[in-house]
Amino acid sequence: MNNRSAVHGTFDLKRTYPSPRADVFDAFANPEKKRQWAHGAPAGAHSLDFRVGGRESVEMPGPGGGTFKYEGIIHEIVQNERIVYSYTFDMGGGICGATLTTVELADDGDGGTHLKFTEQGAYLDGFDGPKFWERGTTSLLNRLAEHLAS
Amino acid sequence: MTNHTVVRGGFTIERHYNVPPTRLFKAWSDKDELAKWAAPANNWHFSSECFEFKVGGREVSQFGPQGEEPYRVNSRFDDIIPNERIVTAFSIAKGSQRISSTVLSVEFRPDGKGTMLVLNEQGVFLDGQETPEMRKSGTDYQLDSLDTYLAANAG
Repeated sequence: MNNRSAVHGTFDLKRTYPSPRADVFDAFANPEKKRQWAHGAPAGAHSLDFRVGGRESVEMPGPGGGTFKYEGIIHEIVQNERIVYSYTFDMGGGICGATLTTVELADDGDGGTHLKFTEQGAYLDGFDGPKFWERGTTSLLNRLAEHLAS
Repeated sequence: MTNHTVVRGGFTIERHYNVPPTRLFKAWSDKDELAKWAAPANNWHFSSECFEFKVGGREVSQFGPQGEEPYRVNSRFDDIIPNERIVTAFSIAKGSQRISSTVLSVEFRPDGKGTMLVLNEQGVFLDGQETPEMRKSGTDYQLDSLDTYLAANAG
C-alpha cells in the first residue's frame, strides 16, 4: 500500500462532575477503575503503571475480528491537578493514530470538579481522524460520569 | 503550591531537501547522524544514550549548552514507515522541571529528485517553561542544520 497520510488535529472537551477532584483523579490513576470505565476491558487485558514514564496497554479482540491494541505512556502527573499521556491506537490494521491527552482538574467551587480534556494528535492513513476521536472521547467522558455516579 | 499552567500549541513546517527520502530517513533514524545535526541552537550538544528505533521503542537523549545541566528527552516511537514517516511522542524536562509533552510527525515525500519534509509538532508547554513559538524556532534551526549536514554528507 502506498496511500499514506497524516492529518493533524486537536480538540478540547469540558465537563463538570459533582465529584471532588481527588475522586476524578483517582478514576485515571487507579488501574482497576480505569480498566473498567475507560476501556471496558476484561481483567488481564489491561495494565497501567501510573507514574511518569509508566505504560498503559490494552490488547483484546476488536469489534471487526482483529486485535485491538492501545499503547500509552504517562508523561506528566500533578496529583489531583493534571495528567498528560500519549497513546497509539490500532484497530487491527496498523496504527491509526498517535495522540497526546491532557487532563486538567479544577474545583468548581461547589464541591465538584471542572475537567478540561484536550487531545492533540496525528491521525494516520485516511482514518476518520479528529472527528472519530472526538466522538470516542465524548463517549469516554460520559462513561466517566457514570463511573463517578456509581 | 507552584502555579501550574498549560499552553497548548503546535506548528507545521515544510522543507525541500536535495536528497532522496531514503537519505533523509537515515539522517532521522541513526543516532550517530542525529547527534551531528539535531541540537536546536548554536554551540549546543545533542546525544542519545538509548535509541530503540522500532515501533514502541524508546529514545532517551539530552541536549543543551556545553557545561550546563542538559535538557532530557524521553521519547516513544509511535509509528515508523521506513523512508516515509516517523511519529514520536516525547517529553522534555530539565532536572525535575517538566518543560513540555508533544507528538511529532515527520513525513518524507518524494519531490522531484529530492524530498519534501513535512513536520508537525503539537502538544502542551508546561508551567511557563517554553512556548510553541520557541519550539518552532528551535525546530527551524534543526532543519537548517540538517540541510547543511546533508550538503556535506550526501552519501
